[in-house]
Order: sequence, then structure tokens, then C-alpha cells
Amino acid sequence: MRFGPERQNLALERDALIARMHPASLEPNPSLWTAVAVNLRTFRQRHSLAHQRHHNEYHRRAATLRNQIGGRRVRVSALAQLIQVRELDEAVSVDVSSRFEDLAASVRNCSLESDFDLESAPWCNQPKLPIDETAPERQVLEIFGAMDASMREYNRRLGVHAVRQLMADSASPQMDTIINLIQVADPASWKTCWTKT
Amino acid sequence: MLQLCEEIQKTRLPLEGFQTIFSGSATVADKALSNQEALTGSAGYGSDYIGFYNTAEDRFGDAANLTNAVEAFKRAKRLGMLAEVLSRAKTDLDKIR
Repeated sequence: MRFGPERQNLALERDALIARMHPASLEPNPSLWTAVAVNLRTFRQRHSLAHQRHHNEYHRRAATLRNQIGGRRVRVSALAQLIQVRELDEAVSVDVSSRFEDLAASVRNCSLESDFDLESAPWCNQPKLPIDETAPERQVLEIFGAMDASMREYNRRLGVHAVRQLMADSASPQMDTIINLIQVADPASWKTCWTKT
Repeated sequence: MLQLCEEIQKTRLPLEGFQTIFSGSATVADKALSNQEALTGSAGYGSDYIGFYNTAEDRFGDAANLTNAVEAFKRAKRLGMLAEVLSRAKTDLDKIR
């Protein structure tokens, strides 16, 4: 059933209508069809209204998601480049880029933002939006979370790499800066650097 | 009787169409139509009255059952007239999932 858990009343109404319009139900008294037809019309209107509300809600959320996804493109591009830097050790989350593109493609776009004919087909047709489909907000959170974690890891590795480079050259003019930073920072966070250098 | 036979055949077509749209849509009218078809067949050219009587008795038993069969046929005709609109409505509802 594609009505989704929030619209089970519509699902029940639809099933009841199908049962009432079954030839075996109408055969004893075909004139009952008149009443069934009235109920059918009411059901279509209710379903169309529910779908219209769902359509508007989906596309309101989808617009927000598209903005958020667009804002992350630079980060995806940076991650794709960082993955290829061999000095930064084994690549992290190599599938994030493709998952991100899949996510971006999965957010539907529709020019029919509102006011489509209540008597028309039960779906918006460009492209078809099922009434139980929601904007992929959970997937966005998952992928953005994975991206952020990957970026934090690469930042850490970049930091370690930079410190190693500087430590290797004690005459570097940046050495004083490093020493100053160590004095104000928590030395525990540098443990990896000390043990591997 | 020839007219009834033609009407039965015309009524059968839309009712048979239901079976592709509604699952398990064989109706009690099916039996009534079959019985009346048999009766009209036995009333055709070359049949004798004894054969007609035997078919009537075999298929309907008594006059009340024949009356019921004729009523069922009338309802089946009305149902047949709804075939197109019912099929369209069912197809629409099937899409709403």
C-alpha cells in the first residue's frame, strides 16, 4: 500500500470503494452504483487534496535540501581531491562523492508547485511523485554526516602532515609559530604527531 | 426468443470484461444467463415443445426460479451498462496506491 502510515484512512476508503463497486456487490442492486459514484467522487477530491498538500510540502522541503546540497558541492570536490593525495594515507569515504551525486539526483523537481486540477490524474506527472514519498532529509543528514567526519579526518591528517614537515626542518621560520601554538594548545592532541615523528 | 438470445450475448460481453479488472468477478448472473441461453436454444427452429419443457424443468425447476432468472438477467443488463464506467473507476483506484 503506497498511501503511507499517515494516510491509512484513505487506503481503507479506497479498499472499501473497490469492494462496493465489485460486480458481485452491485449485481443484487445495480442502482447502488449511484451512491458509490458519489462516494468515489468525494474520495478522489479528498485524495487530490491530500496529494496536493503532500506535493507542496515535498517541494518546499526539496527546495531547502537543494540549497543545502548546492552549498556542499565545494566540500565534495575538496574531498574528491584529498582522497587522491597519497601522502594523507589510506583514502576515507571514497564513496561519498557518488552517494552525494545520487542524493542530489534523487531530490525531485516539479514545475507544478500548486493548484493542479483536483479531478486530474492522482499524481503530479512531471515527474510522478507518489504520495508516500518524502524528501530525502534523512539521507541528506547521513551523507552530510559522513562528509563532515571525512573532512575532520582529512583536516587531522593535513595537520599532522604539516607539523611533520615543519618539524623535519628545525630552521624553518614557521617553527616559532608552532612552538607558540603548542604552548597555548592541549599537548595531548599532538600525541600522534610526537609518537610517529 | 431470438431477441432474448441476442440480448444475453450482448450482456455477456461486458460482464466477461469485468473478470480482467475485478478479481473473482464471476456473478450469480452467469448461471442465470447460461440457463436462459439453454432455454432459448431449445426454443429454436426445429426444437419441439417437449424438449423446451424438459430444458425449462431441468434448468429452472419451477416458474419462480425462471422469474428469478429473468430478474437476474435484467440486473445483469444494467450492470453491463455500467461496465465502462466501473472499469474506468477501478483502473483509477488501482493507480492510487
